Amino acid sequence: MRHRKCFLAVGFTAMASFFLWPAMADAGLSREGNADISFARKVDEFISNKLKEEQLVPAKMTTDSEFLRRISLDLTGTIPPAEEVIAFINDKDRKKRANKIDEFLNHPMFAENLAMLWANLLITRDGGDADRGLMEKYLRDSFLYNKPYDEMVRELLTAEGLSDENPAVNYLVRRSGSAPELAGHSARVFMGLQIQCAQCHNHPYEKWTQDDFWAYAAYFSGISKREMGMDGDKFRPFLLSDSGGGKARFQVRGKPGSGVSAQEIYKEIDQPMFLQMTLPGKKVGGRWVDQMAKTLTHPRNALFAKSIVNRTWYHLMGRGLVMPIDDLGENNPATHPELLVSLADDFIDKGYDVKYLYRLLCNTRTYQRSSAPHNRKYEGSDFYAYANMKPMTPEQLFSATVQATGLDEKQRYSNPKRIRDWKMQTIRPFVFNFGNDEEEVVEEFQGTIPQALLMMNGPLTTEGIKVSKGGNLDRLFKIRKSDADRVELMFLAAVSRRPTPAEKSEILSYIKNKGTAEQKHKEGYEDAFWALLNTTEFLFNH
Amino acid sequence: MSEYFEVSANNPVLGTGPDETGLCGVSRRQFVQGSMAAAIGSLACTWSDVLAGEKLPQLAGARADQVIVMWMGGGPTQMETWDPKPENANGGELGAIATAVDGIQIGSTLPRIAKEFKDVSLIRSMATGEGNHDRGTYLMHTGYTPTGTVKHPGVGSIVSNETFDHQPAGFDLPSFISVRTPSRGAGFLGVDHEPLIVSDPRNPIANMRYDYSKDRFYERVKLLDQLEKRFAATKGKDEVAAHDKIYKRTIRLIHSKRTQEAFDITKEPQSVLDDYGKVMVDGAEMANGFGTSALMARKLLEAGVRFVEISLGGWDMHGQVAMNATRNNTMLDGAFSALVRDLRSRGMLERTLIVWMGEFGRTPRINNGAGRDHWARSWSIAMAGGGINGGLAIGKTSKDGMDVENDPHSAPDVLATIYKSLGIDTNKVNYSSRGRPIPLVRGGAPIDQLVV
Repeated sequence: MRHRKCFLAVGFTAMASFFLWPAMADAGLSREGNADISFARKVDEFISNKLKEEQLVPAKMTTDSEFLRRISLDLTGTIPPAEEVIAFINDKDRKKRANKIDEFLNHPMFAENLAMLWANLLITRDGGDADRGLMEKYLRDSFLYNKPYDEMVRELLTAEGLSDENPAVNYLVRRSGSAPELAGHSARVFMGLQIQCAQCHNHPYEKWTQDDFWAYAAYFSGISKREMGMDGDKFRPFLLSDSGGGKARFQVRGKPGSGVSAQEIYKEIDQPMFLQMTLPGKKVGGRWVDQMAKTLTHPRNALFAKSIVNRTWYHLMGRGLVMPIDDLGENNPATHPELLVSLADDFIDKGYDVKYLYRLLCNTRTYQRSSAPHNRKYEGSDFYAYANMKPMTPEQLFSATVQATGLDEKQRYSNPKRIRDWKMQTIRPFVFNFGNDEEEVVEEFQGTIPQALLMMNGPLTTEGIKVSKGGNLDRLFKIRKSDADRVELMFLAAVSRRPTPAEKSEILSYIKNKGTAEQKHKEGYEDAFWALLNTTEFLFNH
Repeated sequence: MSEYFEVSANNPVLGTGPDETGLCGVSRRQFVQGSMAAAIGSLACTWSDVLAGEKLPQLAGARADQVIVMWMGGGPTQMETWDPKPENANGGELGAIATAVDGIQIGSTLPRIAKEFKDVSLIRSMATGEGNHDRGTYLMHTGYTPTGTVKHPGVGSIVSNETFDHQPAGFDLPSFISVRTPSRGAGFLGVDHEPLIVSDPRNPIANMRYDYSKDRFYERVKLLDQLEKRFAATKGKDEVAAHDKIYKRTIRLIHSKRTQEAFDITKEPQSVLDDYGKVMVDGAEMANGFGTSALMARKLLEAGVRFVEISLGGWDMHGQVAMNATRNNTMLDGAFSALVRDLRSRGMLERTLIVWMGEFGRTPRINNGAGRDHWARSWSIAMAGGGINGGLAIGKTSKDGMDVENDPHSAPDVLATIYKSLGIDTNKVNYSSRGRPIPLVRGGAPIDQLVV
């Protein structure tokens, strides 16, 4: 997985695998001048004022091990190895949390993790006609070098050419040929606007009319893709081109459900319009998408920054300031409206710096609060009285299981490409089993019977918990001699913390009851490891 | 110790294994009533044993208790199936045959189901307006067009939700099972009503088995239970409860004899297997995968599952519709007629509703490739079984098939008819996670001729 691969690896192994990644030096650090995160205190003030107002007592702060597991999953997409947990707990530096945040943000796994999340959002897990690998590559590079967010979105919306030469085109390739789909998706994902309802009828709750929708969809009307077919024995990628700028002609449906009377209505549009917004700036001329991308990402389009701020807040806090996160419409207010505005302004002010935004939020006390509510009173999670528990994504669950069991070592998978392929292959059943539409926000525990079967009896667990060559339990047996030490390391590997004395004695007596025969003894460990991997604690980021 | 046992309902967090007093969550009184299980004195008390010979609890006013949806993926042609036009150029080359009901003709390549038409009715006047596969599939399953803001529950999940409290104690299968098709999920109704998806009837559910002893499995579960309790003492109350619920159901499923029986079609008599699973094509025997799915559906219904969806794909016949429809009709005809006969012979047909539908129909005009394209303006669906009045053809299309001439029906009409047949209140309103009212049926009503 990442540099912190095997849970018993000592310093030098970890360092060695770290250097398997491309030399990183300074690439992708937040741009100069954005190192100051004093705004984090302001964010906490907004939150604590509201808590006082609601008369809620906030939870304690996370312990070091809770914090490390959380930040690890959020920023790098997997859990920390046991060694890293121990090192972090023992670290005496008062700034160790801030340091860890910086370390992760500048690690390639951060870019890898965000690329995965964004690829799911932009082209879905199956990708359709888009090339999932190329889309991720484009996103990985963007996040790795911390490309300003507005620049990235402009590139995505205006890309042209061959998908292997300009991988950014894969976003448009996914829905090319359907201007209404591109319109609905881009408005939702980049501005939190649910205009797609207005495709068939005026929006029931918001101000959007059918005319608004089609006038916006017209921006995308010239986009088409061409299959390049085979070049010799090589498959050529799609060529995306855009002939927009003249006139758009849509076949628009009548009222849905009106049965036979549904007539074919045509709509012709000479000049697209940007959703009742008049934003400054001369007409660029040329392609319609260029005009659209410029307007959409303009600092005066408040929804653009609000949308990414809300999405990032959701990613880290497990709940958006606005829920659902993709609906920033006027009739769906934020829990902390001023905070959302301030964060969006600050983000624009800092030049759409994505790493800055993550650094800022991760350094807040709000983020670092425990998920154990004060006095066990489950009230006020909406107001961040305690941290929301986040179900792991299928990708996180895969990576965490592999990390906890040492399966990557066992299978001798060390290069990122092979691990990525293995992950995609393994994740397919996870994705199916989770049963969630990848474009949808997961709001509750998404457990399903097939997922539980997978965790109980599936190949990753079955293979991973075995005390056999290469796996973590094998290393555990080699490196630690007493059962007490072994149990402790097993907990660190699976749930990133030491067992409580009660847990330790329970597991030890379980193992003891198995008897002293070597095979039985090992079975005791395997059973305990199985149980740990099936806990709520393991399956959630908390 | 019996070969199969259930997880005890006694343990507050997770069932922890065999428990002589728990009797699989079924009360002792109910258990004793289950003569078979009591007689052999075992703990193999699956629900079907306990209620052997009894009927599935019925909803008030219901005509049917269970549903099989036969989903025709790709958009089935109406001309070659339920609305042939042998006198018109649009009718194509296959022609029509008579059925067991006077005045109703169907496509000529469906001879076996033609004989069962006393128990089948057609709606030839579907007019839905969604000609895109995804959108049409969404519409026909939910009654709504997709909007992106609300994930509407599909009909299977709604039926699961409405019948949930009527399932017998100790019922250990999901109420909604989908065979070789994703169907539509539960949307805002939540995980209890998601379909259990079976991808291959011959190897039904992945990861059902473990390769070590049952005792050891339950030792593991007990350990897990201890860990869960400690975790829940400080955090994650709701998450632990949800985890507990799904794990309990899953563990019951793994060890349920009834589940294994319901999913195991191999023990069926050869004649039944052949009737469902084999068809003759050009004098040669061919496997009928759709028929195998239909057989599994019947077994799942017998086990008490309320809603099963099975699917026959390949209807997106943009080219060579005569040849392709002949092939698909052979599979359809074999499976559909076998299902009706089998249900009838088991006394199940009168309380079962069968719905045949796809996302839309196909163009009346035949295109340059001798195929038919997407068409949502005038197409057909079929219903069968005791849940509806049989032997009817509702609605009529014009001679060329281009227009509906009378009784146009929408997706919400079809779903309302299903609900009415099952005794589900068609005026019921559900609420999305944001509290938005989402009626079960919006802009539609049950088709009176079928259910009154």
